Amino acid sequence: MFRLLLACFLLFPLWSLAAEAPATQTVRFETVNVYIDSGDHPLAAWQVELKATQGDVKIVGVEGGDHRDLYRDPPYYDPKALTAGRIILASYTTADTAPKGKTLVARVHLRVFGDFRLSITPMAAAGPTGQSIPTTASTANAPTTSTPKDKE
Amino acid sequence: MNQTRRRKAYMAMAPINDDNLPEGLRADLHRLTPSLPAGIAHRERDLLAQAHSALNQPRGRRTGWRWLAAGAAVAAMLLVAVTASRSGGNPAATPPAPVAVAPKPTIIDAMIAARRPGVKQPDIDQIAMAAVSIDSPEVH
Repeated sequence: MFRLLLACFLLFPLWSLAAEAPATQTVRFETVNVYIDSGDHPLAAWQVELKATQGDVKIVGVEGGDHRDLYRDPPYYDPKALTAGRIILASYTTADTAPKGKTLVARVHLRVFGDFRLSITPMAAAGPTGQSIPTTASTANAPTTSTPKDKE
Repeated sequence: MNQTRRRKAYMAMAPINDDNLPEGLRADLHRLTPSLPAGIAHRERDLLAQAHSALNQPRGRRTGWRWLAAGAAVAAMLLVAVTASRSGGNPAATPPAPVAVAPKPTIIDAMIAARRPGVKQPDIDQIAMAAVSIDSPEVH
């Protein structure tokens, strides 16, 4: 009886370690490209909301879009959104020639733990004169649900 | 028999009082009993005074308190009715007065401000930061 109890006492730490091993997940970092598609309208101002709808996601950094476009500088965002799962990005340009079509406007760095899913929603977009224009927002490199502005 | 007839005749007579007495008899009666009217008058005054103090004075106090209580009850009922009519029947459900909230700016407002001559960059940045703030209410 004493030997049985001793064996259980010695084997319990090994069993507990083996039980925890499959549940261990690693933390990784992802980059998500944010696109705005304004169609034939010049995109002079844009504002989108990006938030995590599933998983453990923290936004750790924001940088500008493609250098070929005008939105190469980082967009406006609330610093409080860092280390959170929701952020509002916005930027504008006063250039006479605003980009048209699908434009890479920002790149967001995420700290991800496990599976995750994002949701992106355009909040505002306008042409050079300030008139609102229809746009769609999307992301790349991440599972994302794009929500039209009208369905909010 | 004679006594019975006399008694019936006496009962058939009109009652004797001061009005139907002959003038001479009335004068003699008043002369013989000079103190009677004064005594009757004094007694009547006492009775009237006692009745007045017994009835009017305590009753007046009670009536005053009753009027005061009734007035307070009516005032309370009016207050409840006015409060209920103003709150739609439920005083606890009085909606708060609407507070004017300025609409949250968007990046479009910042762009329009940037295109306007004379607007400084810190002011434009302030509008843009208000648009992307995650603390303020969302505007879609």
